[in-house]
Amino acid sequence: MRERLVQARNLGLAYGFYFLLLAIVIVFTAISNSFLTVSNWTQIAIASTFLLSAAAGLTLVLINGEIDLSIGSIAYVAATVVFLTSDMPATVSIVAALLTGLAIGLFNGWLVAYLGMNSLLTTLGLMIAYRGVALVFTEGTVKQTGEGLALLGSVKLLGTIPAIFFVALAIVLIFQWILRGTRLGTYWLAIGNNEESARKIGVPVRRAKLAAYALCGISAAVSGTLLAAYLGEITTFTGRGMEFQAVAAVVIGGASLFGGRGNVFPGTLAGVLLLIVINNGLGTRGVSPFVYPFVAGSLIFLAIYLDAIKNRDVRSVS
Amino acid sequence: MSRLTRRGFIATGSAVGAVLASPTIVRAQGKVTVGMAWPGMQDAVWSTSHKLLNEFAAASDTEIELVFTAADMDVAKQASDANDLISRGVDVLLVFPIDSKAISSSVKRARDAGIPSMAFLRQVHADARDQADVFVGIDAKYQQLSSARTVFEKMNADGAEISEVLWVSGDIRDENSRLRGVGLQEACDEYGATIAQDLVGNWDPQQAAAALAPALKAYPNINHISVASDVMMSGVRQVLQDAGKWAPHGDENHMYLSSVDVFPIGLELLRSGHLDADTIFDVTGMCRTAVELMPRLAAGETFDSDVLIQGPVFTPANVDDPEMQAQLWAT
Repeated sequence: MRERLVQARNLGLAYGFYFLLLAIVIVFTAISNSFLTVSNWTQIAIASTFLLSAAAGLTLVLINGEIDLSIGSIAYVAATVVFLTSDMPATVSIVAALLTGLAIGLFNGWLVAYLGMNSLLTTLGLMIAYRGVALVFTEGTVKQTGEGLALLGSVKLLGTIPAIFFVALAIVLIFQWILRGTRLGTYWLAIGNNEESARKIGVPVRRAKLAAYALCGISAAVSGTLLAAYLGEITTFTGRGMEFQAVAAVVIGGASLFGGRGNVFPGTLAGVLLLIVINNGLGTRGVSPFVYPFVAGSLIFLAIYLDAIKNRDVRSVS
Repeated sequence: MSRLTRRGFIATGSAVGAVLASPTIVRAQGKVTVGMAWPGMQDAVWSTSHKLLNEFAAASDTEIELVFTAADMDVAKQASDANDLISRGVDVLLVFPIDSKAISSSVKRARDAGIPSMAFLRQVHADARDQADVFVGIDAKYQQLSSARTVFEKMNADGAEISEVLWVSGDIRDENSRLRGVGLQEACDEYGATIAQDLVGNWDPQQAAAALAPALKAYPNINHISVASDVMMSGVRQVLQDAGKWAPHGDENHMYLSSVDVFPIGLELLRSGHLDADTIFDVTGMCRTAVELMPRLAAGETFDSDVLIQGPVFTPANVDDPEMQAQLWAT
């Protein structure tokens, strides 16, 4: 009996949020006729796109036991690059934005991995600095993207689903493959579990962390570029608060804030979906806007609490 | 009792003019130094008002020096900035509060130091004991009221049914957003409509889109959406396009849209016939008035009224009138 309870508890800790997501979908389907419709799930896909692409890269950094709070600002900087290159072909804008994300990611990674700076405080400071750089160029105003990019943002696949969602999904799948199918991914998991031990067995800790930050920078830049393409403009709100939502989604998806555990697919994807589905589902029921922050906040608290329990278990086993 | 009720307020250009032409004006002699405690430069209104205040100050008959500080949305830094300006001995403290309550202590310090203060765009909270000597701002309630009213009139003329409105609001903590909601409610009351749902967009087009999309499913017969700012209009446009309800006026799929601010996207949508009414956020008028009041405040003049600026309503019919075009600042 006790063994079964332990099994059920472990099952709940490991897959609880997937069950919760399923339960929420079932409940919203039961109480709202418009929830489980193609057009509504298309909207859920669109709403997920920007957070998903940024959270995918953040997952890799968190697995290393580090954090990057500058992702929202990187997204804004990338969108600003899109604006600055708006009179050039869309491909130039996209490449320039992604290279900018890569450069910023490498810089962040260099500070954390090679100079040994605290990732939380460093990226917190850089979050403000990067946004400031973008504001210098946008002058705090709304800027239009080029027509070519805006056209790309409106392309639909399979009839109704915007192509930008598939871009985010591709990033998720590629990052998951790197995480679970390559040596680099194994390094990240080893570093996150115990950095000192990883170093002793020959893991190139600094290079591996640098790679995680570089990919995180690229994914944040993708998020900013996709948002600019979708809206056809860049606002000062681009990426604002994204870092906290992304951390929440990643942790809800099962990654540990302490490192060494997590998945981009299905983990982070499920975490993002859970946040978006709750928002959407409450919206289809006409619930007060004051309810959503409470529900989302409670969920994030629960995810972090469960993460702490899981880590306590791991520590007691080791 | 609200501050507006206690002190009354002056709105419309002519009333502002009456205050400015008051015979009891005591002119300040010499240079007037004004310390600006600004929230930051991240927002178009913040940066534009900073620019316009400098332009009007430079053109003023009185020599006005503006000493600028930006708090980067940090309430504590804004208080510190205000203290520094007071210590420096400015003639007037001009505050654009990040936090309507927290700024009250800075206003009190200024008063204790004998420095008059002016609140800009965002009022010191009505419950605070220490109020600024004058408030210059936008009549936020009027903005949404006039915009929505214009659309209801248009719907009446078209013979369209007036029943429910979806309200895409700004930040639930923002007094301007709240007042715009009050304005929409008044317009709805006038025309027998109801607000079906308050959708919080947080001034962010992406969040506005995320909130609006499910609401359109919940209220499939909605034919009027009122938006708290053009800054969220790109998100609204995307959702309506995806829902097959993005069509200019005259088309059977047209969704009546009222909005506020008259940003470039608003102008574009007015011209294309997708947006039906847009009340300007008259930053130019606000900055001009603030600069005109600075020397008077420095000279010790007191004001019984808040100065609330009401801008005109832009519609597809008047958007290109030279008179209207002259009022644009965000383009």
